[in-house]
Amino acid sequence: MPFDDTVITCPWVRERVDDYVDGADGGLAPEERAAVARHAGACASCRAEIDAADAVLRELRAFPLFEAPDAVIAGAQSALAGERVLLFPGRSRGPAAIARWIPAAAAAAAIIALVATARWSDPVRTARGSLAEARVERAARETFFALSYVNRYARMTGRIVTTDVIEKRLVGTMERAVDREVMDRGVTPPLRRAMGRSGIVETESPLERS
Amino acid sequence: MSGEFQRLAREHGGRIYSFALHALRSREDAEDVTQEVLIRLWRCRETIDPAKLHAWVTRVTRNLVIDASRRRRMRATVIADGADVELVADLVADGAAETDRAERSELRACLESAVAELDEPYRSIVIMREIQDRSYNEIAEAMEMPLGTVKVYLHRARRRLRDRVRKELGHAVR
Repeated sequence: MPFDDTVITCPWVRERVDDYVDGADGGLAPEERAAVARHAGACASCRAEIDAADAVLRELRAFPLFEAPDAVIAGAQSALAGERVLLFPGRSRGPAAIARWIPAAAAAAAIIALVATARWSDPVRTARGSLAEARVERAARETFFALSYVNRYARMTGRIVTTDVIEKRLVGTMERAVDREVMDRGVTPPLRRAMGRSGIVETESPLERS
Repeated sequence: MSGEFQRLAREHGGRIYSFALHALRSREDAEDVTQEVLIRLWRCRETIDPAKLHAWVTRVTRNLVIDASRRRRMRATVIADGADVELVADLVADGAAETDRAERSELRACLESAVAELDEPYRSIVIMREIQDRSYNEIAEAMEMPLGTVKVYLHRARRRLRDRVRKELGHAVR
């Protein structure tokens, strides 16, 4: 039964604009659809609203769909097979994200800087302290840079970077660059807070859980 | 494992990655989410009802996308607090994304941002319905919502997107 067009108002049409442009699946009965079309034919404002909704919907439906990158599938497979994948500190990248060396290496930026500050706050040690702080800052910066670089390399090439490589090439290098005394102080509450601020969380690997 | 994992990954990977990429607008974050979903899918494959597999995958993907959005907000805070913002920005900036953006139409660029910035559950429903062309029933199952509720959310989401486009582009929408 057709609608009585005299009772069809702009608000009534506006409520149905999305369903109208959505097509058959939108839920408008044929007579409602016809009523909207008739109203829009005579009302420029509602016609504009329908055109805008239609343009938005067409654009959304033209958004591209993607396949999962091969490197991602390979990474998942490797992780399941027990390998670890490098990821940026503070990010969660699947099981590998979680390799335990990450706190040791990446957190160094926050940890060693704070330890150094605390250790050499004594005025007697000020001269040595400023030197140590400079070294610590440089090492922290370089560590951060190196991690980012390796992570980016891993992403671009789809290669898996295993923990032994990281420990040999990065952690070892960093340790040599920084006074071991500083590292030996351990993680104090301020350091723990700094780690938290840096988004560094020590998490159990799902691989180890299973 | 290799053959069956590949089959599962190929079957679901695209849908997972597309959902995550449109929701997060970050290739790296979308890759993380995809990898994690594929791992969980493989681990749980024998306990999932095959009839509900797609809904399961969508649900897990959506949950991880929401987690990733939260973590990203936290990361942004950390970077803002950090001493070397310039270095961080330089390291993580994805130059290709900027180039891509310049090549897209204004409307596309505006809608990409608008979709990603919708609150949940609007964002997930819009992506599933408008971008991935999922049926209302599929969406209702994945979201664990009544069909009518999905339609109401979609209706509101479309209106928000239209308002955003109108606000940003004015009369450019035809």
